[in-house]
Amino acid sequence: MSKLFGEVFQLLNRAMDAATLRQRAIAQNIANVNTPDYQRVEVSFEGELKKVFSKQREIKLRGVLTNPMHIPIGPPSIDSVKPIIWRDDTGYYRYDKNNVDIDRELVKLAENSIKYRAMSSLMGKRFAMLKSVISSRR
Amino acid sequence: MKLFSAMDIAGSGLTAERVWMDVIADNIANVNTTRTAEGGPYRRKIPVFQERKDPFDPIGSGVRVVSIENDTLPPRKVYDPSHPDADKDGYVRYPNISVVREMVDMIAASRAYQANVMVVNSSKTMLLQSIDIMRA
Repeated sequence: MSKLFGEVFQLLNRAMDAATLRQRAIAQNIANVNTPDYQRVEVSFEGELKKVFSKQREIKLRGVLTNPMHIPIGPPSIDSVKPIIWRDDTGYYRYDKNNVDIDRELVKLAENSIKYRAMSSLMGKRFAMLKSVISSRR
Repeated sequence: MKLFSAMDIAGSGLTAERVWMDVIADNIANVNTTRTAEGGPYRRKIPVFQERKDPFDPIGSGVRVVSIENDTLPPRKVYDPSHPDADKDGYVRYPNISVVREMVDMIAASRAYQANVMVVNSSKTMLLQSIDIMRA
């Protein structure tokens, strides 16, 4: 996979998965805008990705794996980035103890769909590039 | 599939808000009802919303209306001895409904409904875009 498609695909794949997850989280928050005692659900991905990137920059040494039982040594791969899902219990301003801010959720919704559009068109462009390489003769 | 489930979640929100809208319509329609099958005046109805949790998924799967309950406020008493439902002191018991409050709730329900429609549209666009990846 990585030889043909490279790290960009891996990254886009992860990021689009995270955007899908975030879309669901926003949908859940908006669906529960009138549910008493509801706590917002939140997805963190970019922060986790940044951590892996900074580790990749710090750690240069990489152990060679010759057996599946080996413990990997070296910088973590992008595949190890997992989005974190958490509940926001920091407080509420509404009488029914619901902490969904509808404006904020709608802004995040717009932001997420623009991000997704950017990533999917990037992915399409990469595929188009590969395709043109494959189909061009001589 | 995960992206479809965002639409399912928004769909459960649409259902819940529509139920609320139906309940508000019922409350407004019965603002002067003094006779019901259970006896006594009509009582204001309130839908109870609950988050729908999923044991295998930390995000959950939307919202649901668990029950529709009666308002606990006592009925409003109006002195009208000629009314057929007046008690022996001449008071008629009317439902404890404030039309202004119902109107405010109606706006809240319809705005929440719109927000859920926005989620459906945005999820739909995302899904179509991911199909378009291979069209390039």
